[in-house]
Amino acid sequence: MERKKRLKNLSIAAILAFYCAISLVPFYFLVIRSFTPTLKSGEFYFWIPERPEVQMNARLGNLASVNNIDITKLKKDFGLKGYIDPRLTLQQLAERQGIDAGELEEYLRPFIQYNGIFVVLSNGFLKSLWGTIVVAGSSVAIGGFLGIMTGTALAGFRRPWHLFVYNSYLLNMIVPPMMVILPQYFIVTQFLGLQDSYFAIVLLHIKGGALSTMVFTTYIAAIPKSLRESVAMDGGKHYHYFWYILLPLMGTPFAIFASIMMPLFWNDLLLGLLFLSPEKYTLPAFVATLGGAYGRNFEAVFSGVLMSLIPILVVYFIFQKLFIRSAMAGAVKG
Amino acid sequence: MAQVSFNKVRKSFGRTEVVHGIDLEINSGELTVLLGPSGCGKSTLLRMIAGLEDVTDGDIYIDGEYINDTDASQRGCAMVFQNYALYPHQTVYKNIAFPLKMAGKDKATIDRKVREAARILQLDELLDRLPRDLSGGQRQRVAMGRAMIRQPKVYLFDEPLSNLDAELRGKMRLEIARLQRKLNATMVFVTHDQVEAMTLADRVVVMHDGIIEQVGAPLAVYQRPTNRFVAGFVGTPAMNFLAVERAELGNESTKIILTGGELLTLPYKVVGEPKVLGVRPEHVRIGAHAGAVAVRIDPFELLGTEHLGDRSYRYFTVPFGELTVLGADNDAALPRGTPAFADFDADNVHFFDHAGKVIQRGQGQSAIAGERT
Amino acid sequence: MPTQQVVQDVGEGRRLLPSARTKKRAKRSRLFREFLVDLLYAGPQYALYIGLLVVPFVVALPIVFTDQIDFLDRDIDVVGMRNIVSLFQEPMRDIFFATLRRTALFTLVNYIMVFAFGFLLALAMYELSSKFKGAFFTIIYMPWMVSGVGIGLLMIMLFTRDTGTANLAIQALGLGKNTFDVRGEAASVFGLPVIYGWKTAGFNMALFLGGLLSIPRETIESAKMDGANYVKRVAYVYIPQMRPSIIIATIFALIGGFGIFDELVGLGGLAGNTDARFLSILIYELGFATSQNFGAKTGTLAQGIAVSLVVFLPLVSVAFYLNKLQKKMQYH
Ligand SMILES: Nc1ncnc2c1ncn2[C@@H]1O[C@H](COP(=O)(O)OP(=O)(O)OP(=O)(O)O)[C@@H](O)[C@H]1O
Ligand SMILES: [Mg+2]
Repeated sequence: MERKKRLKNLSIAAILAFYCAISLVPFYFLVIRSFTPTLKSGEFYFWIPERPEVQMNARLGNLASVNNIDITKLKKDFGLKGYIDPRLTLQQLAERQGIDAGELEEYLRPFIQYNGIFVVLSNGFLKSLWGTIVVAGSSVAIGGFLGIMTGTALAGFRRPWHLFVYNSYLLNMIVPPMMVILPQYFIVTQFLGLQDSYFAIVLLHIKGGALSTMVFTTYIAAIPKSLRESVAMDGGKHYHYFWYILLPLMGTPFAIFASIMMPLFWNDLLLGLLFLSPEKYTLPAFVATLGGAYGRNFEAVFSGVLMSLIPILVVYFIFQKLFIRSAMAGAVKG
Repeated sequence: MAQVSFNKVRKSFGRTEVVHGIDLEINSGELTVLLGPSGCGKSTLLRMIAGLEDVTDGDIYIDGEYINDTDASQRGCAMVFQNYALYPHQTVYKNIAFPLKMAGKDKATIDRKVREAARILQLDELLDRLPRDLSGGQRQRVAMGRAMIRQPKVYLFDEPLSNLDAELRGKMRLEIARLQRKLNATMVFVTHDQVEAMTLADRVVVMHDGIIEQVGAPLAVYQRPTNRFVAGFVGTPAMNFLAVERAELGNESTKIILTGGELLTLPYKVVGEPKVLGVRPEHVRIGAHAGAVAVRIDPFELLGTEHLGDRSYRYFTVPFGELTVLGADNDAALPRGTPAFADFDADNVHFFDHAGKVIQRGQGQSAIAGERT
Repeated sequence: MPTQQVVQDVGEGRRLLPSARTKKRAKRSRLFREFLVDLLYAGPQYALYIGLLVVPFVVALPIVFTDQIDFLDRDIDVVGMRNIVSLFQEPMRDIFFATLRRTALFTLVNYIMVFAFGFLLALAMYELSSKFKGAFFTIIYMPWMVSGVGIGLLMIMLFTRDTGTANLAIQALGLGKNTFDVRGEAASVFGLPVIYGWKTAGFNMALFLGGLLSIPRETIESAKMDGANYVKRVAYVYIPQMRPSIIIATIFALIGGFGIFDELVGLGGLAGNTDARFLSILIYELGFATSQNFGAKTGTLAQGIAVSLVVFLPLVSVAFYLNKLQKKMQYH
C-alpha cells in the first residue's frame, strides 16, 4: 500500500518534471536565438554559436538591412560627408574614405557580435523600459491605493449602494477590453485631451476592476470592526484610521493585487500602441514595432523579446512565493 | 466625570426593535453595571452611548448635552472592547499613546503620560512589545491604559474580562474597582456575569429583552427583586419558584396552597393575587422537624449535591416541584419513610403575580424581605 | 413646532432639550457626513470607473448610427442602422465572417486547452506531495510573465518556415522539413491556442487548484470507500464540486478568446498577416487604421463600433449569466 502510494507520487512528479522541462524549452531557445546571428537563422543551434567576425567584404547596404547598422551615425563617428554608395563593401569604404580598415573593424565588431542587443538598445529600449516601469509602477501603486480606499468605503456593505457599487465593479470582469476600447479612446483623447501621455494609460489601469475591489473589500471586511471603532473612541477621524491602522495592515491584499496585476500592466500592448507615439512606446509596443519594422533581423527581434521579459522575470523570481500564494488566494476568491 | 441620561431610547436593526424605550440616568462618578442575559441589548445600549450605533428614537445626553448625532470621536468616551481591539502592528507604547497622538499632544507630554499610565498598570516592562506577544491579562491592561490616557468623561466596558481565566478575572475585577475609585470616574460596565456585577457595581441595571427590569444597588437587587425575571436571573443557583394553586388572604396571615395541595401559612398579609412563590436556596431548609413555616414533603428525592468547598447545594424533587437548598449538614441522613419537612424563612419569601411582578406585603408587616428580625 | 429650546431640570443638573427640528437636522447632518466620508473613499476610483467605462459608451454609442469614418472625421451624417446591416452585406460580409470564424474557432480550441493544460496540471498538483511542488508551480506559472506580443514572436521563432527553431530541430533529427508553418490559418486557429494554453497554464492551474482545494476531503474519501476508481472520482466527485471554478474559467476563456489581440500583433496581425486577423484586429483596424496608417482602410469607425456591439453584446450577456450562475452555486 505504502509502496504503491510512493510509486504513484513518483510518477506524478516525473510527469510534472517532464512538463516543466518542456515548458522551459521556449525560454531556452529564446536565449539561444537572441545570440544567433540573423544570417545563421537557417541553422539549428543547441548552444549559442560562435560570435561572428566582421566581414570586410560585406556590403554596407546588406549590413544596414540585415544588421540594422545606422549609417548616419557611422558617418558622423568617422567624420564622413556626402553620399555613400550602399553597394560598397567595408573594405572599399575604408579605402575610398581613407579610414584605417582595422579601426573600422574594431568599431563595428561589438555591433556585429552582439547585433541583437545593440539594435534593441540603440532603438530606444532603455527609454521604453523606463516608460514601462513608470506606467506599471504607478498603476500598481495608485491603483492599489485607490483600491484600498474603495475597499474601506465598501467593506461590510453598510448601505445598499455599497453593494451596488461593488457589483458594478465585478461587471468589469465580463467586459472585453476590445469592446470598450473605441469609446475609451474617444473619451481619453477627445474629452480629456490626453494624447501621447503615459497618464492616459495609468488612468485606464487604475480605474478599478473586479480583482482589486474583490480583494481589498474582502480583506478589509475581515479586519475586526472594533479596530475602526477603537480609533473613533480614541478620538481619531476616519483618515486617522485609514492612515495609521488600515494601510499598515494592507500588506497581504496589496501583494495579491500587485502580483496579479503587475504582469498584466507590464505586458499591456493595446493601450501603449494606442495612446503613445512610437518614441514613447512601452515595452510590448516597442517589441511589436521591432517585430514589424525589423522583421528581417531575427536576432534583434528575439533579443527585444528577451530583454523586455527579463525585468519582470527578475521580479517574479524574487517574489515567486508571493506570486504563487496570490494566484491561489485570487483563485479561491474568484 | 459625567452623567449619562437616556430618554425613551429605542434601537432597531432593520425592522426588529432590540431596545424598547430605555429611560435611565447613569450617575457621575459611579460604576454602573448593565447586567442581563445574552442578546438582551446591553452592548447595543453601550454602543449607543459611545456613538458606534445610531439611535433609532429617543435622546441620549452626556452632561446635559444632546449627543445622538455627535461623532463617536467627539463624545469624550473611552471604550474597552471584549477583544481589546489593540492595534496589532503597534507596540504597547504606541497603542497607549494613540489617543494622545490623535489629540495632537506634543511628544514630551505623550511620553510622560504614557509612562505614568504604564506605571499605574504595571506595564513598564512591556512598552516595546507587540500585542501578539502579550498574555490576555496584559492585553487587557493595555486596553485599559489606552482608555484612561485621555481622561475620558465616561469609560465604557463591554465584557472586558470574559476572555480571561477565572483567577485573572477576579484580579482584574479588583483592579478596575480600584482604578474607578482612584480616578473617581464614571464607568459603564457590561456583563452577563452576575458575580462581576455584584462585586463591581455601585448600581446594577438588570436588562432583559431590550427593556430595563430593575435598577438598584447590587444587594438591593438581590434581596428585593421587583419582578420574577430579576429574582430568577440574579443569584446562583437561581431562586426556587413554586407554583401557587390558591391563596387565602387573611388579615394577619396568608394561606398558600401549593400544587400538591400542601398548605403553607405565612404570618403576614399579602395584597394581590400571588401566582408564584419564590424563595432562595439559603432561605429554605429540609429537615426532620417542622419549623414555624413548614410543609411536609412526602415523597421526596435527592437528585444530587453540589459541593463548592465553602458551601454545598442539594437538589430535591418534592411533591410541589423542585427545590434547591443551601447546606448539606443537617439533613444528610434523613432516613427514608420518616416524615420530612421543607422549612421556609417567612421573611424572605417573595410572591409574584400572573405578570411576574412582585407582590407587596400588606401593612403591619414591618419586615422587608431580607431584613432579619 | 416651536424652535426655541426647552430647559428641563434634572436634579441638580440642567439639560437643554433640543426641539424636534433641531434633532432632525442633527440626524440629517450626521447621515450626510457619513455619506460624504464614504464618498471621499469610494468616489475617486468610481468616478474614473464610470467615466472611463460607462460614459464612453453613452458618448460613443450614437456613432454607430452615423457614417463617421475615423476619430478626426467632422463631417458626420446619421445613417440609421446601415452600419450594422453592412456587416452582413458585401463587401464587409466576407471579412467579418472570416474573422468571426477564426475568432470562434480559436476560442473553442483555446477552451479545450484550458482543460488540457490547467485542469490536468491542477489534478497532478493536487495529488502530488513533494518538496518540489513549489518549484513546479514556479516554472509552470513562469510563461504567464511573457507578454502577448512575446508569445506571438515566440511562435515565429519556433515555427517559421526554414528558420523556426522547432522546424530546424525536427530537420536536424531527420524527421522532416518545415513540419510547422507559422503563416496560415491553421497556425493562428490551432497552433496559437496551444502556445496560449502554455502561457496561461499556471494561471488556470491556480484557478482549478483553488476549486480542488475547496472540496471537502470526506467526499473524496467516501467515494474511495465505495470503490470508485480515479476517473470516476474525477467525473462524479471532483468536477461537480468544482463547478464555480469551471464557470469562472469558462468566462475567462470566453472573454479572453474573443478579445485576444496582443498575440496576434506578435504574429503580424497588424502587419499584413491576414490569417491572424481576428475580431479584435478588425475592430482595431476599423477604428484606428487611418490615424495610424495601416494600409488601405477596410471600413469606417462606425462599422468598428458596430462590430464590437454585434459580437460582444451577446457575449457579455452570456458571461453575465454565467457569472450569476457561479454566484448562486457558491452559496450551496
Ligand atoms: N448589527 C446588528 N444587526 C442586527 N441585529 C443585531 C445587530 N447587533 C445586535 N443585534 C441584535 O440585537 C440584540 C441585542 O444585541 P446585543 O449585542 O446588544 O446583546 P448583548 O446583550 O450585548 O448580548 P451578549 O451578552 O451576548 O453580548 C440581539 O438580539 C442581536 O441579535
Ligand atoms: Mg454584548
